Amino acid sequence: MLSNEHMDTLIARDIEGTISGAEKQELAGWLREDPSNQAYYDALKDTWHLAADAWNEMPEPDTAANWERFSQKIETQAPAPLKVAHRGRSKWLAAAGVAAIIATGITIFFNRSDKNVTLAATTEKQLFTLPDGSKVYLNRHSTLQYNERFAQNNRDITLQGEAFFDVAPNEAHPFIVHAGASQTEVLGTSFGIKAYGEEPVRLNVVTGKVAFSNATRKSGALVLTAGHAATVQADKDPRAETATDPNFTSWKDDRLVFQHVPLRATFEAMEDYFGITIKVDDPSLANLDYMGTFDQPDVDSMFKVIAASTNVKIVEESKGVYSVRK
Amino acid sequence: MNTSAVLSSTIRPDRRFTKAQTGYFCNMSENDRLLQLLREDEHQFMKALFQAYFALVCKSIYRLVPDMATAEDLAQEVFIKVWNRRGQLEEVYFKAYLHRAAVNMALDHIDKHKRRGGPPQEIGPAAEEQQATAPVVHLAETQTRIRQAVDALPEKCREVFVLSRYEEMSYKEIASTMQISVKTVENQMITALKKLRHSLREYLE
Repeated sequence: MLSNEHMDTLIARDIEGTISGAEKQELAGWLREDPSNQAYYDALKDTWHLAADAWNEMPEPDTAANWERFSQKIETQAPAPLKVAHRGRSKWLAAAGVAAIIATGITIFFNRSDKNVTLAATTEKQLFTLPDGSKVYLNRHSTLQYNERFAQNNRDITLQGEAFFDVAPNEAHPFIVHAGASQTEVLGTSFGIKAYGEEPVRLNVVTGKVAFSNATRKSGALVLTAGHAATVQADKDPRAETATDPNFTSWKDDRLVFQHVPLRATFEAMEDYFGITIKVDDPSLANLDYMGTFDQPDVDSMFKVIAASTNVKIVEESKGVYSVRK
Repeated sequence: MNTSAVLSSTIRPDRRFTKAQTGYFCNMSENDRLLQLLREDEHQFMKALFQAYFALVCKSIYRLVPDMATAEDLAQEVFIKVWNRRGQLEEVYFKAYLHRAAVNMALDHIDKHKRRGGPPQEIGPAAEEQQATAPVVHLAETQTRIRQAVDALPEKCREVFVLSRYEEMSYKEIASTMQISVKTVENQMITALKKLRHSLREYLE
C-alpha cells in the first residue's frame, strides 16, 4: 500500500466531509495515478463504514434507578449553588464554592456506599442467593464479601475458602471473584473455586466460560471452558491443569467419585470431604488402585466398603484420626 | 455549527463560562420546556432533564469508558455538575451541553485512571486460539470484535476515533476538546483507520 502524509490528510478530510473542492480534485488525481492508491483509499473508507456497527447493541442504563440514586444525592446536598452577582472575578469564587459542594456530596456518597456485606458458612455448608440472582454454595469455614452496591454498579465479590457459583447472566456487569492470589472473571455460568489460606487457588469450570488470572500480575490470563481446571499461586501466572478432579464439587453434591485412582487420592478426597486425617504408613497400600461411587457418604460405611474391597484394616486411633494397615 | 466548542467550556472549571450561542435551536420546544421548568421548579426541571438525557449521556461515556457501572457513576457526576450550576443555565441548549459535558467527563476520567493491563481477551493464549478458529458468522460477534479492535487502539488515537466516528464531532471540535491541533486529529484518524483495517482484515476482504 502506498501512502503519503499529504494524501492521508486529504483522505481524513474526505471522511469527515470537510474536504474543499480543490482538495477533492487533487485527491481524485492521485487515486487515478495508480490502482494501489485507489485500493488504499477504499480500504480506509471500508474500515470507516465497517466501524459504524460497533455500538448497534449496547447495554441500556436503568434511568429510573439512576434517578433514585441521583435525587438522594442532591437532597443530602443542602446549600444552594451560589448565584453569580457580577461577571468578572466573582465567578471564580463561585466556581470554588461549587467545587467544594461537589466534593462534599461525593465524599458522603462514597462513605455511604462503602459498606460491605459478609456471608459466612461456619460448620455447615450453605446456599445463598446474591442480589443479582446468582447462587452461591458456600462450603464450611468459608466467607464471601461484597459491597452493598453489588449488582447496581459492579459484581465484584471476595471469597475466602471454597464456593461453587451459578452466575446469573448480566452483560453490563461482569461477575468477578477475588480469591487469594486469583481473579476470576465470569464470561459464562458455573464454576467452583477453592482458596484456603496460602494454598494455590484452584478453579474448576462446570459450565460456560471464565477468565482466570493472577489478581496482582494481570498477565497470562487463561480463558477456561467447561470441564477445565487451573490453579494460581501468588507471584505466578495461572496454570491449566491436565486432569480435572471429579470430586471438586463433592462437598456441594454430597457425592464422591473414584475412577481408578490410587488409594492415596481416595483418602485425600475423604480427608477434604469429612475434615478428618487418614494415615497410611505402608506405601504399597497407598498405591492400590481404587474405584467406587458414594452418594450421601458417611465415614464409617465408606471405610467398611473400602476395607472390604481392598483388603485393608482401618481403625480410628483418636477422634477424626484414622490409620490404615494391612 | 461550532457553538458546541463554546458550550464545552461551561463544564470545565478551568475555562471561562460562556453562554450558548444561537446556532442549535432545531429542537426548540423540548429545550424551551426545560428552560421554563428551570425558572418555575428546579426539582421538576432536574427530573425532566434527567429522564430525557441520562441514557444519552451514559451511552456517550460508555463508548469511551466501556464499563457500564463506571459510565453510570460518571453520568451521575455530569448531572450533579448541572445541578450545581442550575443558577447559571439561562440560554443553554441542553442536549449539546450534556453531550459535551459527557465527553469531557469521560476524557478526564481516562486521564486520571490510565488503563492498567489489558482485557484478558488480548493476552490469554486460550482467547487467541478462539479468535483464530472462531467462524465469522454472528452479527453480534462482529460488533464485539469491532469494539475490541477500537478498544485496543492507543489511548489518544482511540479517543479521537470514538469522538469522530460515534460522537459525530468535527475535527475542530475534537481538537478543542482534547486541546490538540486539528493536524494531530487528522493524523490520529488515519492511524486509527490503518490499525483497524489491520485488526479487522478478515471482515474486510
